[in-house]
Amino acid sequence: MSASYVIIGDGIAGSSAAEAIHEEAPDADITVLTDEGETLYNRILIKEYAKGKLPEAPISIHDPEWYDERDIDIQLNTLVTRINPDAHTVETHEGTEIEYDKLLVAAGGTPNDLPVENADADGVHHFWTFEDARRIREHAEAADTGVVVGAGLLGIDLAAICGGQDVDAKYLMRGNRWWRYALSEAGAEIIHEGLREKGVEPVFESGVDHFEVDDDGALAAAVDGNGVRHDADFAGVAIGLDFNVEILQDTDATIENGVHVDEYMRTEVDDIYAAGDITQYWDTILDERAQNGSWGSAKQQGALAGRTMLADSGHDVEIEPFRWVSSYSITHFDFPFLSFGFPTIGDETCERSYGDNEWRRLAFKDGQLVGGVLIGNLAPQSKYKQLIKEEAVVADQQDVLLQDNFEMDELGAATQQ
Amino acid sequence: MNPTIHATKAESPGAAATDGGTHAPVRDFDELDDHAQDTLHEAATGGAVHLDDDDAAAFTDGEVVRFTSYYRITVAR
Repeated sequence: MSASYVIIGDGIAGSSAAEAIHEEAPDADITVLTDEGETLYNRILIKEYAKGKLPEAPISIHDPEWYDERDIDIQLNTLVTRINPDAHTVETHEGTEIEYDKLLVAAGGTPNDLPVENADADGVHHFWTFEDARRIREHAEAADTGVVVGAGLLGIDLAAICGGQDVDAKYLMRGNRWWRYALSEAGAEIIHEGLREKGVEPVFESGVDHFEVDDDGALAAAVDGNGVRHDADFAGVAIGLDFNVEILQDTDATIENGVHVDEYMRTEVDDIYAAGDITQYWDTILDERAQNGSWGSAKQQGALAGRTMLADSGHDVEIEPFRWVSSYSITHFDFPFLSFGFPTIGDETCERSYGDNEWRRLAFKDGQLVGGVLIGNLAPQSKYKQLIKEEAVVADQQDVLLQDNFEMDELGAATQQ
Repeated sequence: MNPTIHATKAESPGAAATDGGTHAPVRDFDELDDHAQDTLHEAATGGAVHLDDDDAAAFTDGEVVRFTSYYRITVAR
């Protein structure tokens, strides 16, 4: 009898794991459990749906037939509430017990609520699922005024949705610029100007003190930290995620803003694996734990987890440690934006402006390039990623790295550790 | 002859995603691998890009990719 593989989560990590298992072991017994009411969709395109730029159909990736054709048991609207590692079972919200031989937790996260008065008012939105996008689109189409909270990579999607839906919006930021951990004022100002051109006004050193509601409980305004009132019948909040690790609390897995896995996606609990943004994985490039929520990283982690589960079940499957340089783009503006690696860590940075909408910043740690941000010209990204993968010590060659275009052989010979 | 990739701005993204009721596949820039991202960036900013067969396989003729605009991909062989 073949082993049973149970996967919690049908995002790109969970679905990639199911696909990898099926490809290597077509007769495997695979069950995918998801608390969402629909099968895998393109999470990075739902912002385009919310903006009103795309219909629903292209967002879907897998229809139910995809699972049927592979004999994968997909169970929608099924929330896993508990894992019993001794019995090798998971328990669902309906009390059903499902046995597993190998279990993958790819349950992702849940957006954090803003801890202020009326943060749960009608009209305050988080943006994570396709259902969120549907609600946001419907509301934004009818809204006149709005605010956005969260000066990061998800918050800017909400700001762009306001711009795309002609909502007169204020982008309330606690600091003096957008994504202050990765961008200097010079780089951030390019983004600010792009937002203004879309009708979204950044408001710095503000944040939200509380929301005001009307007599029906619907959002009416946001009052910022300086006491300034901003009319808003729409609010978008993106201040980070809580990772869905509660189901692992009864296990011996290490939980620390996610779950610890090794470079093969194994947790510290026998027969339990994890993949996607829920993981604190062992990064073999940085030689430390890292976390990443990008689509490409989740896809790679999911596929690797599936293969590791097979290998640990005795299948003849080769597995290689996770070694990945992620990137994340923003495509809301006329100019492209790409962050790669880990641009917010490190002990040294360098940057250069190349024109009105072209800017570059690189981050180094112990002399190695570990990440960066490119605005306008993305051409060097592959070379930077290669240097990161090679763990090249190049911090002393910033003049070459910041050239508009550079060739790898221009870098000094002694670059590799 | 090597394949050539063209990326043409789609003026109406909604229409670009629907071909007479049949939905053209739509991908986001972040779904492309590094080399395909380089190719799209070059095609979107500099015109046609000549590729070998392996690299061209990263694209599907007629698909739409979201980058700084929506781009319809043409793969000419």
